[in-house]
Amino acid sequence: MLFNSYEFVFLLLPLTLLVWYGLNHFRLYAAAKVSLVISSLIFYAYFNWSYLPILLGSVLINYLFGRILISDAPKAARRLVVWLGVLANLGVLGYFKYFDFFLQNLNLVFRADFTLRHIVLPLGISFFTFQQLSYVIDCYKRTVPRYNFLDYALFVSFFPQLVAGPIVLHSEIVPQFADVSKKSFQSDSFSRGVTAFAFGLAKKVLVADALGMVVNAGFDAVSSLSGVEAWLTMLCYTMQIYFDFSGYCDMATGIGRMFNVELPMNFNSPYKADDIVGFWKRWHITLTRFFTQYVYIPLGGNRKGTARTYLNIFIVFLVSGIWHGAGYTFILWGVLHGVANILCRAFKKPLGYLPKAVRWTANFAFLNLTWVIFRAPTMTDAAALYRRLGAGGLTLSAALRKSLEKNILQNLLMNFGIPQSELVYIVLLLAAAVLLALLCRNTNERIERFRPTVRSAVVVIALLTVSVLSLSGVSTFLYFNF
Amino acid sequence: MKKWWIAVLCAALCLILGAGAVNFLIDPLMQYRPLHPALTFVAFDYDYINPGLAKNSEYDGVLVGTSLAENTDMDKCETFFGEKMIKLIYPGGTSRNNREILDVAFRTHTLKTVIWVMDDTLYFNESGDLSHELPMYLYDDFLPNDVNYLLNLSVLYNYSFKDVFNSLRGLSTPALLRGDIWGHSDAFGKDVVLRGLRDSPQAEKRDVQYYQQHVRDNLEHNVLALLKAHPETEFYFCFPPKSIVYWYSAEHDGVIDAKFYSMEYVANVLLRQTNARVFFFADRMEWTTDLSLYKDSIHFKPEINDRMSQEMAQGSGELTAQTASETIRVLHDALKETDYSEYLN
Repeated sequence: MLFNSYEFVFLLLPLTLLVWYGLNHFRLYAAAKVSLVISSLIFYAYFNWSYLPILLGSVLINYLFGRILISDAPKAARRLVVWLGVLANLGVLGYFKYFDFFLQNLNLVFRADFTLRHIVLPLGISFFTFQQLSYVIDCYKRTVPRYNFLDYALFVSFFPQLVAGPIVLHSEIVPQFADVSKKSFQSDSFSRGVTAFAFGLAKKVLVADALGMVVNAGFDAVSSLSGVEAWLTMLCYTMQIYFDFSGYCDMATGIGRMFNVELPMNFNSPYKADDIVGFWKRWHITLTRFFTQYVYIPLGGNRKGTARTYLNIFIVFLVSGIWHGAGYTFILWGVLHGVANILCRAFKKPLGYLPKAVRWTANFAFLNLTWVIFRAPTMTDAAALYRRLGAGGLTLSAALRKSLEKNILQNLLMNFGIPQSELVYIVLLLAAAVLLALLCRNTNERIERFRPTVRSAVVVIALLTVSVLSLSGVSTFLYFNF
Repeated sequence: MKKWWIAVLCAALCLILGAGAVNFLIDPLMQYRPLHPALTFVAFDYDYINPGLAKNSEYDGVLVGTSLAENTDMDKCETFFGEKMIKLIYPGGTSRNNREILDVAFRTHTLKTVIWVMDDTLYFNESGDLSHELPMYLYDDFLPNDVNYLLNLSVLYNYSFKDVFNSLRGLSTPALLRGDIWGHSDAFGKDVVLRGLRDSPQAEKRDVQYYQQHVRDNLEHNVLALLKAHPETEFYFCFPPKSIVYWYSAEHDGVIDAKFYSMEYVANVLLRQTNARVFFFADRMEWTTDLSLYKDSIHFKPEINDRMSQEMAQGSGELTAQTASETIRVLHDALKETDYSEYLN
């Protein structure tokens, strides 16, 4: 089920909240947790019920690994179990996500003819696998108290973070569900949650999906784009992925707050960063945290000299690229970000002398160019788009204009007799998106400073109303694919 | 704080439900009832209009097809066939488009007649392809899906408000949906047809098996399934004329044999069905060679649409199991002998 769907907004969310607070009100705490797990499983199974056994199996097996790892078993046995746990998780992830890619490469290199399995990737597998990997490793380190199965199942399946993060740690979630003071309805937290949800929904439905129309039309006809279309396609994707992921994170944060649960910050205005190191401190923060704790530091972090530090950084970004998808486009994207990170650190001092505007512009240009590789179905498509950036022409294709014909703002511009209304609309949309990303407070800051004023009420009512009335053009979140 | 969230949720809910109520009462896409006579209907988007027309119009027969059928005058068609008819057209549409809308029509009406004007899109697309994504919530009968129609800002602005606004401006509903769409506004003639030929890209050449598979799949999933499910309905399949420039392009692109294979295969399979009649107008050389009738290589003047309706009603131009292959082969042979330069200069 999508956050941006009628069934979620009008059915699952309100019913789950009612049952959760109702059961907690009568001190039926365990029953309340069971109800939340069931709602989360319904949320998950609604996409495709056949995914459900994979999620349930993963939860059960990792819980058993955890129980063994925190027991008094001998250290050698525990070491064996932790390796088993890590390999089992990575094995499942590898099978579902990379097996076909592996076969494709075997076929290519050895001119073999292995039949591809066309395996359907279970939704959110990258997220709940990493979440549970961290739990298994922490159990080995004995930094985890003994949780009962219900608490563990709720930690993994809690629906706001299940399918696209944030990648939460057990220590961030389980204690909150155990805290009796958080079990009663709190207007303050709920109001902040509604606010974050409204902003997230608007970002997704009104901005990201509108930009996505341009992006899809552009990448569908990449070799025949005019120059201006190529530029618009690239810039629109840069802003689409920002508002898509930011919108999802805001909604996850907001829904968490409605349940009195604070999820960790995952997105902190990343386009405000003026270098790539700063960008990765602000974009998908919990993924960066995971890679730092469970890849970078075990590799030696920055403790083994400069060269080894750079190698470790490179490995982290290579793994990050592979994590994002099974394809050479993702690997190249990870490599480029790794190299940029290393260069940024190596030349930190001279780069610091450059004016901030120059650094920001260079960083934003780098992000734009690398997002093209990230989005393009193949390297050939990415190369074609780069070539079209140098082509002339101000025309928009019929397909692109057709994709915008139902858009109300575009229609308004056309009705006012604005020439080239489609082009004007896209430019205005992009400009608004860039200004929102760079000049406005992000939603986490916004809900921390939240005051229940008439102004905030009017804004939230407007965003909720317009967004809900725009849901019928539903689309999934880009990060669901990773 | 408590007052704040209660006020916010109540206000948002009221506005959302209010929008839904407006869309329900005006019902601009005719999902629940025909459009109120006092309202002016000017929306012109087949994907959105067709399902409502199919659900809530009065008719006994339907004409489906692509832009080749778009200009058919339904008042004349009704006279020829002697029954109440509507047209449900998808320009550039595929056979799946036609099947989807005919499913709606059959769910809501008992049809005497279906006229299906054939186009290349019947043969050369995947059987599951749509010309573009349809708003399926308008096509199904699943009540909860109506939320997509009712709680929809685009429907509210692009249809409900505009219908009311245009009514207030005193505009009347144009007769476009029953008559000629572009037949008397677009330029026709040899010059525009040949200009289009110069600008058109070369068709992608594929194996014959590719076309054979697509024709078989399209017939099976989107045509024969309907014929078998509705034996009480008489289906008229019509192969319209194509200009000589179309045949020249097909020859030049190396796809002419595939096109003839497809026509012959389709005609013969259809003629084995008890409730199908097949009409062939592609061999009318006086229409094929007269480029003044065309605006490009395939789109002809509305007069031809009306002639085809009339002849089908009279039973003229009809193929039989005995004549189909021969008729189509004669045209193929005639085109092989044709000196196209005579028409292209």
